[in-house]
Amino acid sequence: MRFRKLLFNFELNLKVKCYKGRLVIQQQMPRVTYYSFQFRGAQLTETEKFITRFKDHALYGQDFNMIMAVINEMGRNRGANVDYFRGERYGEALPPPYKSGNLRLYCGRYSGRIVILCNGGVKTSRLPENSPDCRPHFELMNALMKNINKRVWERTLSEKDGILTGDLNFEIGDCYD
Amino acid sequence: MTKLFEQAIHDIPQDVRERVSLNFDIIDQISAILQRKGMTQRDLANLMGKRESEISKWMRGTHNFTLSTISAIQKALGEKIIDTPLNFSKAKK
Repeated sequence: MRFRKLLFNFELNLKVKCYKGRLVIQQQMPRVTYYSFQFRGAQLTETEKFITRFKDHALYGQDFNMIMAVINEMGRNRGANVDYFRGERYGEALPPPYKSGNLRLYCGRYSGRIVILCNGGVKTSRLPENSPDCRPHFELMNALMKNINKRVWERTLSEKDGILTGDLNFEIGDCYD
Repeated sequence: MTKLFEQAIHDIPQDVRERVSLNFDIIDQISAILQRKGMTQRDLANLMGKRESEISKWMRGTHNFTLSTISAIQKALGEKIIDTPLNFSKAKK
């Protein structure tokens, strides 16, 4: 009976959106600390999955290098200036992704010193919601940033000296145990 | 944490690094002029007859600025955003 309930909940979690994981430091650079989301039980962070998939890619390798070069330039020399992240629709909840060509890496700017990196994919339509390769990563980033903003508001998450302090574990969406 | 991220950064080709660095020099110069003039990206867009979204795209770091675009921006702002060391040393004399 308990096994059946576990199986039911597992299948339900697959159908509804449930994200269980935590923010981890991906790389600390002189001007920006980059965090990434790591699903519970996963070996790689979402950004590492993106790197594994697109580094040295026959079609998108060049775009991948451009995106990493932007991350590097901001991290080493410029900081996460708000002007670099201003959305096409000003004031939108989610900043624009890092992009080159049709390749997208979804991110969220926490502050001038902290950026949350996620995963991404190849955009094949005007809206990311309509691009199968982008949609799950866009949705995760969206849900994650909403929860981060909520925690900042509730003061359970803050920044000290360019590092996030507080609860970095997340269970987002309709999660069933 | 794996070394994947570090390796990916290490493996960025030098020409790509320089191109992105130049992009950001241009972006930062545009931002500095806008700030000094009390203008927004929207104001620049209106001056150039473009949508604000197009200006936002320039400011991401991966845009491939053409000389034509740089000239148009300079004309809209009324001042240079890039120059050469030769011009700079001539101006100093």
